[in-house]
Amino acid sequence: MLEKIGDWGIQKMRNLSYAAGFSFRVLREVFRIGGRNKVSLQVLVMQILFTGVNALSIIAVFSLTLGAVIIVQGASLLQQVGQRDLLYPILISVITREGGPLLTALVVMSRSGVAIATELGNMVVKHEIEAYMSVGIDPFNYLLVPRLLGVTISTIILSVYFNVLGLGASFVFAQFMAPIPFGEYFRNLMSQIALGDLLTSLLKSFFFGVIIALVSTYNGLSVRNATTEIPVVTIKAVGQGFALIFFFNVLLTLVRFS
Amino acid sequence: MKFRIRFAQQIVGLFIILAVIFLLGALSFMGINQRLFSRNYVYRSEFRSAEGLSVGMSIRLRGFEIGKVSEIKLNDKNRVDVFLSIYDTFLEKVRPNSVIELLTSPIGLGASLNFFPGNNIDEPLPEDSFIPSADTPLGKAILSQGLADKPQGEETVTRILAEVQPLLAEVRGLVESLNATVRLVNRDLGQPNIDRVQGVMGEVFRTVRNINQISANIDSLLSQMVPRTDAIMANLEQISTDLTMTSEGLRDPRGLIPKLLDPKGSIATLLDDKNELYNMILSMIKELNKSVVELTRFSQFVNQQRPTLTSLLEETRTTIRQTQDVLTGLANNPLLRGGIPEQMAQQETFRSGRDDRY
Repeated sequence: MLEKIGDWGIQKMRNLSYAAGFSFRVLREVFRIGGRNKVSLQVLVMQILFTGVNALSIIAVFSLTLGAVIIVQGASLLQQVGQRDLLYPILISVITREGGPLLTALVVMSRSGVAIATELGNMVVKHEIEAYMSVGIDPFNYLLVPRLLGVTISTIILSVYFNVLGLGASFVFAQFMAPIPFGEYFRNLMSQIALGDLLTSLLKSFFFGVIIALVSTYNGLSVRNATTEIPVVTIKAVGQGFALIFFFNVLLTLVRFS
Repeated sequence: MKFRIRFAQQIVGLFIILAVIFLLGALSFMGINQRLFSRNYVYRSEFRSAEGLSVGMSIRLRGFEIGKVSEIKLNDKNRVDVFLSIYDTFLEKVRPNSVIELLTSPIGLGASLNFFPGNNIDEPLPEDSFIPSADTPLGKAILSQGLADKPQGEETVTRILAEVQPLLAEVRGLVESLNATVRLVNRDLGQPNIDRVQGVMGEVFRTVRNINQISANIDSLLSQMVPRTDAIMANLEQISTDLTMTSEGLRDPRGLIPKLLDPKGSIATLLDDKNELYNMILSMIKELNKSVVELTRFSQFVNQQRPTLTSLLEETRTTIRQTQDVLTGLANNPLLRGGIPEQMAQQETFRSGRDDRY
């Protein structure tokens, strides 16, 4: 029993060490983007297309729904206690500071993280990685860095769209509850939102994008021989990704308010 | 080839550019609304207390926000240094003899910081200059001499608030003194004095118990006395009734007094018959006296003859008993009725002086 626990612990430490080395290698390769060829850039564009542009519809649905719910629930409740002005801080807190980055990251992890892990797992099984290496193409440079950059950029940009659409939806639905001129709504919103809120949102999205890309690629490349391993590592990637996203969300929120 | 794949670069470019535009636009509007890109000029003021003041508090001139409080700190003289951040658009309002005033609502509706610009048309005060507050002597002097532009309507409200504020201060002082008293009482009721108080309370308890005992004794005594008192009271009531009746009789025009005072009544007759009735009564009393003397002699004679009479009576009673026996024997003769029954001895009711044992 003790031996098994010890083996398990040693294996976990080895995996963690390998993951740290893997992440360091990927991040180091990112800074060599200047010497990247046109093919890598094309891979990056395609990754942003799949991760960002294609996810815009589902992000729009989420943001519009969240904005509408906040304005419907918040306006009626706050109006009862005569604190309608608190609606703007609530919108900023829920959509910009917390909801936007978090929901965007969950969507990207569910869609693109799973896709990346599955694609890389299949490439390993089909020995495509070995083929790249045999012709002198660094898989980190060609496969991983564009995915890391693509996912991170897409997450940040999707977070911006989430904010725009969510706050816009709040204004639209506010017209049904208690009509308010757009100028007044926009002015109040802009006077209440702090630069720190905006930076926090962007910083969270950046970290979440990096986490999603690293977790997905690491788990995708951990497939060894069989295709049956692919669903296993995919599920594992999703679990690890969600856990790390929530953990860093709490951590960054604490840093922001400390 | 699908449209998205074919124009992937353009679509991604648009996707990114739009997001960047949104982001920059938000930053720009946010900066404009929050004056992130404008310069503010900092001035210093001094207040007696920081109560009602807060960082970020608006500084208003006739309803317009001309700046905010940027910092509050306690200085070496235990006064409160307040740093005012005045917007560049209102810099020309900050002239010499300007005064700043903190108004706190007495009913808890917050506080406001009002700025009164100086009346002169000099150049604006340089940055980091001192602006006196209305609760300092300098500020009061400037306001009283009319050197600052203070609206009259506002002055009325200010005066009312200024009158209310000392009252509130007095109330606060009263509450504080009450608190101090309560604290002293609490302190005096500390452990050493609690023992003393407990001792006193024990004595009081014993005293109360003794009083209860005395009260019970009094109750018992009263329960015994009440019947007697009731009887006495009944007698008194009877006497009172009698006196009442007597009094009524005396008050009666046909009662005792008129009869006694009647000229033809007994008293008048007694006093006015030349001792005739008196002499008659006197002779009757003399006759009664003679009779009493005779009765006394007879009684003495009877006393002297009592043994003889007693013996005679005893002999007579014996004779009667024997006669009764004979008659009973005759009545119960076996020849006639069945003999003479036995008679029970009867205790004598009469006892002579000689029967007594000494």
